Amino acid sequence: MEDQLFSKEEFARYNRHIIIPEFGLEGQQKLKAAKVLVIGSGGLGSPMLLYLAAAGVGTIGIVDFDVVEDSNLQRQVLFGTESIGKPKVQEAKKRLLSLNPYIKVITHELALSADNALAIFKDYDLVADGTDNFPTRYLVNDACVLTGIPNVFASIFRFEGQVSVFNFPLENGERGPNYRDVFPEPPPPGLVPNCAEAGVLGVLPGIIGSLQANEVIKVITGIGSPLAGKLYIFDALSFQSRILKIKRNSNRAPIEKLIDYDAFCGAKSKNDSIPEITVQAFDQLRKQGDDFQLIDVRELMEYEHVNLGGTLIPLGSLLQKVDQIERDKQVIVLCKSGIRSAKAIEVLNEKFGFTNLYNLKGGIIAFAKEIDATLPTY
Amino acid sequence: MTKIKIPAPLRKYTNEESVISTKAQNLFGIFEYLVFKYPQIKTHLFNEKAELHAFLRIFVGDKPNEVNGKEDVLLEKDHLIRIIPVIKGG
Repeated sequence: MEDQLFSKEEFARYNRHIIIPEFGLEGQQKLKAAKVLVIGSGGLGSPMLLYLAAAGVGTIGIVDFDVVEDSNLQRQVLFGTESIGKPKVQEAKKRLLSLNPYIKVITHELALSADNALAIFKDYDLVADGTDNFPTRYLVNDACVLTGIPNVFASIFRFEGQVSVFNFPLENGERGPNYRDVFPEPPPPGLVPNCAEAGVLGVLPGIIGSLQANEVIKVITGIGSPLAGKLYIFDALSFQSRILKIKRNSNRAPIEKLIDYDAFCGAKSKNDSIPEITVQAFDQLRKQGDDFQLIDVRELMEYEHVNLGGTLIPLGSLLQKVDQIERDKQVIVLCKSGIRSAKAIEVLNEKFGFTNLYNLKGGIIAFAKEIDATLPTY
Repeated sequence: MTKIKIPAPLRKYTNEESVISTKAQNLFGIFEYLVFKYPQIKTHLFNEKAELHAFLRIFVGDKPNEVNGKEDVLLEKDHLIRIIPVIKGG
């Protein structure tokens, strides 16, 4: 570690850290020397970035290709109303440097991929994963293993959260378990929804993202026991939490290179073979009064919020209601964004031999954006 | 009674019940009861080879356990079984 010198202003700013006996000036110097890469500046990334910046992590990288939307503001406390429509990484950088001008913030305004991950990761000491999709989560894990850096992981669903420290260097020279040791394979596309599809209590990423920041700081400074070999689970409804033991899976295939993560997670190959209809073509069919059936595979609450008059058959009850789907005309299947409907068609085609099903590309959100702006979005 | 905690993504298959109590004394028995009482959950727990899906983990107390049809686990009456799913939200 380079000798980290602090100005008078920094000494004053970090005083409450420096006076903690276990932390001290040495801990603060380690934070200043550290380079942390945060993947995603959304629900988890927001509180995590704020606390890491406030704590004085010297170099913070942020990977995000997205822009701020109004539906983000219920939980993504990095951003304000004036941020809507602007790139998240730029808005995050502005906010973090306002909070702490003594740190460096590096923005990576791009979609993390197998082509760029290793080149980005090699400049950092630690990665904190706050993404919202399986391909990126497996990519982050594998890139951390290949570059030999710890992955401070967190994930959320409605009222529940998970936190762990993967690929942590152990005293015996080996590495602690990683994401693939716990979850070797992702679920089929559409089975496990993300926050945009399933909803999330706004304060939950605040809790879990703060715990994630806590683990980042522990790993950097070496104080306490990080969640290596452990999976912390939290349920905001019952306020129960638990630390579960996890271990390396000796039967798991070694991670030797980055792969095609969309294909691994089933997002590309299966969707490619499913017939699609654009929202423009769909709108044309409606206006022409063509005879087709519209099936909506979202949940009841989503349907009640906004719908296009289709027959509601939530994805989870698809197999029980398959007889409601017609075979002698075009059937257009829709959901919020086109992922669950693709999954529904895949299942119906494979198990029941349908050949007349079309996925509404981009779902009801694309329809609201491109065809009918009066429809409420979510 | 042993109890099994159902994670949020699977609760739509258990009528939104988050904890199911059974008199089963072993891990297999618990899952047999769960699938008997809530048949819709079966395909979301097990694949066509009757193996637990690779995106789920079972914990007895705080320890991981395999549910692979080979080795059963005797349970104590206060054991809480957890199904931990992979989740992706961020």
